[in-house]
Amino acid sequence: MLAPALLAWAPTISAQEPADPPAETQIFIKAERVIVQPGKELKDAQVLVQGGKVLAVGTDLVAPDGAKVLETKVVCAGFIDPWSTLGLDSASASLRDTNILTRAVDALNPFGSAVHLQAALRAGITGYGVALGGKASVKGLGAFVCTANHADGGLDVLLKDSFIGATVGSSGDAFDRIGYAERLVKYIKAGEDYRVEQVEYTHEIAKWRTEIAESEVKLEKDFKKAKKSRDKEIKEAEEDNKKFKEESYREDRQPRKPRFDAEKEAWARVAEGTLPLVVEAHRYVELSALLDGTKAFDRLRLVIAGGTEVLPLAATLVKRSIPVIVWPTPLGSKRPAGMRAHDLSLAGALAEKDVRVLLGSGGTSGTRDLPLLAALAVGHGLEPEKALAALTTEAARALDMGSILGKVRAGYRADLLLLDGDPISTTTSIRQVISAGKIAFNVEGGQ
Amino acid sequence: MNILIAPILSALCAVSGDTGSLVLQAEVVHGPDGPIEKGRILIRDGKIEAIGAGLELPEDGHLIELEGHLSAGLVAMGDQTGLKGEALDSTRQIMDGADLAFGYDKTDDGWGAFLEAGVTAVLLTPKPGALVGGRTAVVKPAGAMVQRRAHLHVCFSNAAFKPGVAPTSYPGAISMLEQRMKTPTGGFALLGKGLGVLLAAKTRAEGLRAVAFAKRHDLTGALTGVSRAGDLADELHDAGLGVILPPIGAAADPRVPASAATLGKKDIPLAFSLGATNRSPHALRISALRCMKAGLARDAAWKALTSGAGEIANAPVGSLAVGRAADMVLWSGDPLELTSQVERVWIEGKQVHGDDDQ
Amino acid sequence: MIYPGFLISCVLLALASPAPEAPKPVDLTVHADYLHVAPGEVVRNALIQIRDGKIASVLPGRSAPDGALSAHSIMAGMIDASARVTPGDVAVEQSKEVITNLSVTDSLDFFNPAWDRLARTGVTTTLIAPPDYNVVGGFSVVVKTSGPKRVEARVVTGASILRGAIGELPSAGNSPAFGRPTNFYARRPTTRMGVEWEWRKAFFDAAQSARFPDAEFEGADVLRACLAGDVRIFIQAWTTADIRTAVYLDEEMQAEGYGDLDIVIDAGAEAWKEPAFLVRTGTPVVLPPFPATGRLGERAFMPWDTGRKLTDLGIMIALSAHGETGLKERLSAQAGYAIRGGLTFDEALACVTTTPARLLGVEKQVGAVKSGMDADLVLWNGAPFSATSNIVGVVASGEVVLTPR
Repeated sequence: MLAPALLAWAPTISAQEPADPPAETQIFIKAERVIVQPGKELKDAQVLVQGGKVLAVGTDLVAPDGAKVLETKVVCAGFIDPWSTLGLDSASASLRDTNILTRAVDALNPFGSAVHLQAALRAGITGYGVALGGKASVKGLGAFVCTANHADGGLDVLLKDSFIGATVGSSGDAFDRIGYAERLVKYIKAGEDYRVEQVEYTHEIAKWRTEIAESEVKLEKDFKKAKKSRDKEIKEAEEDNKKFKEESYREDRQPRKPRFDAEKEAWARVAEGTLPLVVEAHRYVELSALLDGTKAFDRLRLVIAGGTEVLPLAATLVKRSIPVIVWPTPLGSKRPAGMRAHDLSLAGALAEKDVRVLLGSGGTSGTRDLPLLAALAVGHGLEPEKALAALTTEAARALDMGSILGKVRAGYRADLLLLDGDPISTTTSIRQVISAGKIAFNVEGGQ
Repeated sequence: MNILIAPILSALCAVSGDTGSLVLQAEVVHGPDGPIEKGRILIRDGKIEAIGAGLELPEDGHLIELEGHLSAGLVAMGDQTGLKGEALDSTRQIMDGADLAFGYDKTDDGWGAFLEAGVTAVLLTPKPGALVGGRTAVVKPAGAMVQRRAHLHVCFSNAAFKPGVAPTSYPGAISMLEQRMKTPTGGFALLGKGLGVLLAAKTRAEGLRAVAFAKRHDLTGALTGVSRAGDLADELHDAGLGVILPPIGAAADPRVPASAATLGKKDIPLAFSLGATNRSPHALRISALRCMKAGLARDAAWKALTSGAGEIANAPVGSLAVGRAADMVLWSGDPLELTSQVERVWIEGKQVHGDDDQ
Repeated sequence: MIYPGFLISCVLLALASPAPEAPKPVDLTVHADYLHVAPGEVVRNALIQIRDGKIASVLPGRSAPDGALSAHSIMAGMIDASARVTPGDVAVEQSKEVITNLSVTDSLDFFNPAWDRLARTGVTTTLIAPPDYNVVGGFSVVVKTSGPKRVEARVVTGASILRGAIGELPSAGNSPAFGRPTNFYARRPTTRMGVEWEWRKAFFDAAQSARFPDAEFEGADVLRACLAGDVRIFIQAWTTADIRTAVYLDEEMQAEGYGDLDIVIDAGAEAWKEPAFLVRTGTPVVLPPFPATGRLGERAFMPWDTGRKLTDLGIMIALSAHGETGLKERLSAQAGYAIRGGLTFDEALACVTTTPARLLGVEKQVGAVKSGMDADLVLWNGAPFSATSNIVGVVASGEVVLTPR
């Protein structure tokens, strides 16, 4: 009686067997042009995206079953804005009370800026560097954030400590501004010294430990003799009515560990090059003071933001491989302090001298306009290929994301733009934006 | 040979003035009926005599072949460059007899920025602060006055109110205007007889009142300053008014350019202004591009920058039509591409900006 | 009982030749377990059919059809006789103390989201007046809180209502002129006495202009219409002294033979203190929102049982919320407080529907759920105005403004 019941049951058991786990969404893109990186393009190529990364790029790929197929004219890497305040709570964006430990991630407000983030995403910016502090002299830890939301609705922060932001020369006369530059150099020096102290300490304590070990071995050997001579000395001291002074050995003094200083620790990271330092400076006086002062730090990674009057120092910038983030915005007669000499041809002029040029939105939340500003810069002399590089590979490289962003290559994060024309052209429209392997924006609506 | 002689001759032409005729040929000429491939323009005495693809060279004509796109210069609707302190007279609320033309300063440094951005005509407007600020004027940057009295500037926003001076309210302001329209004198008398009306407002409700006022008195002109004027499209169409949009900045509400696209779809004449603050004239093209990205048709955007703006400005500017003054710009590419820059600018046939090396 | 007959007539209609014009389809059907047609009239299991923004019919004893909007209780959309949704002082002309030729209509902004918020609290019709910074501010206008964002679509024609104030507000911000007056704020009254003088002077001058043609002045026609009773005047008077002044103004005009003013006291918080002259002149009062602490504008005091007291004396009262939309401040909450202070449910319902409709002259159009009137409904999930029930839906001119979820 049980058997037929079981038999009746059996098909339902097998029907209830768990099916294969749902495949991760695969996206297969067919494009007339795949811009792997500025200067390297593939014609009639395909890109396979899976699991948030680009799996393969080639000219003879075939769409796997179940993959979503998209066709487009041009594919390029998502744009990056290295100098933005998008997503920051408005009061924090202009906070002046910052120090090197203030973190931009603590002030991110995805809900308040949802509309602007969406607008930036639709304009093609998939990631950006954000720091708070406005024009404060030390702005703190900047973060690298993605414009598309995280799966759980919050902001997708790729790097909580992407760079340190600073400003030199936002106010004061020439001597004041040089003073600010020198102060910054002093901080970096303090950081470097702190690191040197730490390294010296580790050497010293290691040495001390070996010496103690050796002395102990020696003492063990001559214990009796040493004890006898010590007793004799004590007795002599008692007889002479003198206080017996213990002999102090150098080994007893343990090398003191340098006191932990969080700020100096952060500056040390800057001095040794693990954290890039993005300094906003516009006028020649402070730029030159800054470059002179930081010459001694050979591992410091400096990035200049703004650089309105930096052209005369182009040779130094090239030699030390210092990139410049240019803000090619049209300004009328009312200009912010330091930008009186602002010229739209700065980006082109710098690029011509082989300076690494990046394009940013000037520390405003106008990130969505970056492609427009890039086009304006191209219109004033920047080569289109260099403009695209500024928006992708160079920006990724400067903010330590060069191995996962900025190119359409296997293994890189899938932040891609699908366009119907040249990426820098203003009449091109972006059809789809893929962020972390998912379609974050589709001009046709829906996914 | 032509290429070598051309620069010298064009320089001579620039020096000697308007004698002789000049033929400019460019890859694309944006004429009044659309783009012309390998188009040519014949200019004589500073005016356009002919425009087309296969124009024949007259005997005294010099041909200059240019690389790039040739188009009419852009028209900026709403600016106070050069006016300095003259943009507003705060002694009276109604200054219908005041002409902004008297405050025009040809020698102001700010005009250079306009030429660099390819703008060859500017509508001067008063600063908001009075109910009727004066009569607007159309000028060429650092050049001639095209139209002494284009519109009467009437302010329907609360910027017109000053403490302690009548009117202090919207109903009071409208009543005061209606009083003046009952027995029109001065500037009011010219409304409808060649003088248009420029209705300045900020909010949509103010815009509605302004448009209703224009409809009541059968006035022609435009509404300026209302960012989301698309919501008033039906009333604007009914009243036959145009719209001048304030500059659309980086942080603009996305409904603003979408609203401009609505206006374009409903065929309402559109133009862009630079606003009361001193903005860079590049803001004109950028505002137009933002609207295009939100759905404004390409033709409508181009018209808004050139011929449409000229129509709203009541002045013969913004178009390369035969008989018009030769105010032209040579762009390195498509003018609606921000990657194209201004290479040369001519005003009335004379080159006023750009190098001669081509 | 009605049912079979209904069926038969349907069949007959079907068999007969097709009607020349098919009846227009009903736009919206709403069902209520309890429909408060008007104060004192309740219909059980009512089916309200709405067409073209008006109530087409109210059918009793029906069950809720599938998919129709349904609620426990439904009442007419509320009317706030003193909602203050204006852009502030730019809505009233202050260059002259007595303005009779202007209307607040020219300053209305229907793009303000405050209108939607107000509509969602169940207030479907409001009286908007020029703010009381002026002695006489101009004409008020009756406005619907939802609909197309255009003046023509929202204004409701009712009685002509002029607005004025007695008390502190018209003289606030003025100062006496020391030396040459630089602007009109130095010319205006600086005390209550001065404000009251402006009122009497205005009517005195109007009466003189009626007698002597060369005493005519701008705005006299409106003031004469007031004296004739053709224009109703809403006067804001918080304290008992100011209410007294307003009513004595009316009585003085009658005594002098100039005319009979038709006055309504707005924000008459202290009407309960000296109600005798309100009774003898039959002046209606619009009460301000009940305060949590007892003290109101201009330090007036209004106890919770004000509604009961005034109604017992026969004074017509309406409740108002001054445009507040908070859960404890909105007009439906004010009706709840009035009930707690002693009013019966129907009296409170009248205070927010039929009475303000009468005061505004729009009683044929709004204030009750009757055929031919505007389809303005408020849907509750319990007894209206009760602390345990909520407004779950609002229908305004046939459009569902707040959807029950």
